[in-house]
Amino acid sequence: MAVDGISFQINKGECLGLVGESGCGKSTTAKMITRLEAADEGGIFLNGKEITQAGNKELRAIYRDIQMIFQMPVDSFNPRIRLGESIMESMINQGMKRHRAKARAQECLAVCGLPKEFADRYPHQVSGGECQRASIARAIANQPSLLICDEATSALDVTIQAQILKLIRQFQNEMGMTCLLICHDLALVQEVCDRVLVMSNGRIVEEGTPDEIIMNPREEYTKRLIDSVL
Amino acid sequence: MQQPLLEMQHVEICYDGKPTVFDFNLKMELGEILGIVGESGSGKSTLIKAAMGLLGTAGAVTRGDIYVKGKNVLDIQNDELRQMRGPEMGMIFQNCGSALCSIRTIGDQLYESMEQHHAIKRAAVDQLAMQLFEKINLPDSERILKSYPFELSGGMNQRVGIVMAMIQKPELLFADEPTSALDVTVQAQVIREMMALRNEFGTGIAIVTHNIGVVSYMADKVAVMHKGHLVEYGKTRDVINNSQEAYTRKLIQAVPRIRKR
Ligand SMILES: Nc1ncnc2c1ncn2[C@@H]1O[C@H](COP(=O)(O)OP(=O)(O)O)[C@@H](O)[C@H]1O
Ligand SMILES: Nc1ncnc2c1ncn2[C@@H]1O[C@H](COP(=O)(O)OP(=O)(O)O)[C@@H](O)[C@H]1O
Ligand SMILES: [Mg+2]
Ligand SMILES: [Mg+2]
Repeated sequence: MAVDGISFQINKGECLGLVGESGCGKSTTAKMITRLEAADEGGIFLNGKEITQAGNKELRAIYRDIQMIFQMPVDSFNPRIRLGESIMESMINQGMKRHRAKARAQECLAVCGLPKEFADRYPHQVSGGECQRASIARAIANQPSLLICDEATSALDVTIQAQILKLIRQFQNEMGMTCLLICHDLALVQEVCDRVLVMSNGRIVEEGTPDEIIMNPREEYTKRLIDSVL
Repeated sequence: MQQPLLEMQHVEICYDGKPTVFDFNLKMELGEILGIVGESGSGKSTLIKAAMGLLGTAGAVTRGDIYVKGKNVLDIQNDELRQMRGPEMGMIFQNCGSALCSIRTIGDQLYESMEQHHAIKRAAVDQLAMQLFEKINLPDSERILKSYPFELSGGMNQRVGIVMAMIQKPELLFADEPTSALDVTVQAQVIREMMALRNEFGTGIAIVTHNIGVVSYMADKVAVMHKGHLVEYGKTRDVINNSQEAYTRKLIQAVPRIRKR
C-alpha cells in the first residue's frame, strides 16, 4: 500500500505544500487526485463533487479543472509533436476552435516568458528550463482551478526555479488558482505555501502553516527533515 | 614549500574547437574544500573532467596547465593517470550509480578497485565498506555487498558509487552534484561523511552543486562560474554574504533559505 488512509482538503485560492522523503507516497497522492491512479477506498471531492469514480465523460471536464506539472518536463511532451500543438491539444479536445486555441497557446507561452516561435519547436530543441515553462503554459492554457506541481522545479537551476515560482504566484493572485505543491525543499515551501502537510510512509503525520511546522515540529520525522536542511 | 593540491593556470577547454571554459585560474591547498557553483551549461563538469583526464576525444585542454600536487596532469601518460585515479584523486558524479558494472556484485567491484592500488585482503575491504554504508544510511550492509546493482534502487546505487570513491580515502576528491538525486535527509548524511573524510584523512574536496546551503555548510572557498568564465572566487563567507558580483548575488537570491526562528 503506497498511501494509507489520508484525509486533507485544499481551500480555494490556497497554496498547499506536501513534503516528505521519496517513496513516502506524494506522487501517488497526486495521481489519485488526477485519477491517473485509482483509490481503493475513500472519496475524492473536487469543488464539492465526488470524482472518485467519475466516468470518461466526466473526467474530461475534470481534466480541464485540474492540471499537473511533473518533474521531468521533457518526458511529459510527445517528442514528435511541436510544443505549440501539445499546448493546443487539450483545448481542442475541450471543443475550442483551432485558430482560437493557437492564439491562446501563444498567449500562454508569452506569459511564461517564451517568444511565440517556441510553439514551432520540438521538445528536444529547447532547454530543460524552457521545456518546464512550456509545460506550465500548457497547464494554465486551460485555466485550471487546481494546479498540481510534482517536484516541478527540483531538476532546474535555482534562477529558473525562482522565475517559475513567481509565475505560479502571479496566476494565483490574478486568477485565484489553487495550488498543490509537492516538493522536498522545506525552504521553498516556507516561501510559497499557505499550509503544509508532512507525509511519511503513506500517512500524513503533521499539518500546519510552514512556520508552525518548521519552528515547532512535533513529529520525530519532521524534525529530521528540518535538521537535514543545510 | 608545500605543493598546492590542485592548481589551474589559464586553462582553456574546447569542444570541437569551440572554447567552453576560458582562462580559468584556481588553487586548492591540501585538505581544502572548494565549492563550485553556476547554472547548468556553465562548464563545471567540463572543468572536473579535464582535471581527471576524462575529457575523452570530444574535448581538449587547449591552453594553460593543470597541476595535481605539482604534477602536470596534461603531460603525464594515461597509465600513470590511471594509477593516480582512486588513491590520489577520486570522483563522485551525479549518476555514479549507473556507472557500476551490472554483472558483478557490489562487494566484488569494491574489492577490485581497492586491490588495484593497495595490498589488502577481501575481508578488510568488506569491513571498511560496511562501515561507510552504515554511515550514509545504507543499513543491511552485508546484503548490499552481495547485491548486483539491478537489485538496488537508484538512490542506493548512487550511495554505493559514493562509497566506491570514499573508500580509497583520496587526497583529492571531485564531487560533481553528488547528492542532487538524493533525498534531503540522505544528502545531509553524505555531506557530513565527506566532511569526516576531510577531517580524518585530510582529503581536499572540490564539490560542484547548485545547493548554496551545501556550499555554505562545507566549503572553505567558492568559485562561481558563468558561461565558462570564473566570475567570482574567494572565501565562502565573503562570497555568500558580501558578493562583489551581480551574477553571484542573483544566484544566491534565487535560493529560498529556510527560517528556523
Ligand atoms: N507503479 C508502481 N507500482 C508499485 N509500487 C509503486 C509504483 N509507483 C510507486 N510505487 C511505490 O509506492 C510508494 C510511494 O511512491 P510515490 O508516491 O512515488 O512516492 P513519492 O512521490 O513520495 O516519492 C513507493 O514505495 C513506491 O516504491
Ligand atoms: N561532449 C561534449 N561535446 C560538445 N559539447 C559539450 C560536451 N559536453 C559538454 N558540452 C558543452 O559544454 C558546455 C559546458 O557543459 P558542462 O561542463 O557539462 O556544464 P555544467 O556541468 O556546468 O552544467 C555546455 O554548453 C555543454 O553543452
Ligand atoms: Mg514523487
Ligand atoms: Mg554538470
